[in-house]
Amino acid sequence: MPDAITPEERRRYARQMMLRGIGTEGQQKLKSARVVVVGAGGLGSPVLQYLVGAGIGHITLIDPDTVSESNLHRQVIHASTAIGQAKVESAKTFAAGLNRWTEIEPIQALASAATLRPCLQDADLLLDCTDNVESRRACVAASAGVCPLIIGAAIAFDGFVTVVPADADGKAVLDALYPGEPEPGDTCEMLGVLGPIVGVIGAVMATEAIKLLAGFGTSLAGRALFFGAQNSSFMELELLPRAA
Amino acid sequence: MMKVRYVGTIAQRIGRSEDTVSPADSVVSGQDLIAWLRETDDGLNFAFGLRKNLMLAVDGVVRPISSDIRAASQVAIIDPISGG
Repeated sequence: MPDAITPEERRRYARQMMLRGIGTEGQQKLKSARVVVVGAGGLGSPVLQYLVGAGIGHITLIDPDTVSESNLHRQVIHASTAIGQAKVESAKTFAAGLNRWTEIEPIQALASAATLRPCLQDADLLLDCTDNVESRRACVAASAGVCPLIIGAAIAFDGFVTVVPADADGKAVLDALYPGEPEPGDTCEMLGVLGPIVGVIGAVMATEAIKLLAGFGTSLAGRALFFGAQNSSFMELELLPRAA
Repeated sequence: MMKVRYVGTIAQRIGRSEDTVSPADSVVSGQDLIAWLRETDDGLNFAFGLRKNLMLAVDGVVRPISSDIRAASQVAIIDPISGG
């Protein structure tokens, strides 16, 4: 039975509870939800902003890194005063300031299938906000058959989002998105990234998360939504097409 | 005419995200298209020369890079995006 929504929460979430598909029942689902977010950096920042703002009840946050000065133009939940702190602790401070009803469980660790499996035992959803293919493969392996996975990625002026249902072939999705071995040096540190790109992609990831948790709309399962800033265009691609 | 969209580092390196082209009759597959584009544009030659594993989408559907693209109206050539 979902937790009851208090009058204070009802006032706080009034503008989203009035939406068809959310309402009291959907807000209760969000409050009862247990979500795992891997990565508290560029994508993790907007994801956390909107999931905490929306009233997700419990978020396990996993990231091994500390905040550095070159993160700050895009990792907007971390303050200048947080430089040197663990990102998961800085993110917890941000979340506590935004919404006291969201509980953040910080885990300062590298995401691996072994790290993730215990965290996913009672999870409703996993969000992959990592920055490398190896961690993405760990997210796919750990969530298979357990819970849905939302994958986001961004670099330079481009990014994409897709959703992998718990019963889908996540490995095939990753193989479609990453044919062959990853190229060395494909990181924001090496290639650069426009700050708002992670904001756009992270906001789409958070939107998909709220839809899946509250139970409305059509997800990006089977599709990848790309955004390119240079010509400000979205492009939807069908993944895993049937044999021609 | 075929619209070719570039995504990821390809677009970043050439400073634009699409071209409209009329490929040579010899262009059959995604790989052929990339080879032909490299011959027509120094920037594309440079950008594609730095990447080995590219993703292809033909009229909105992800396909193997070896797929036939002759009937396509839009092809996307995507350098896989892994950052975040």
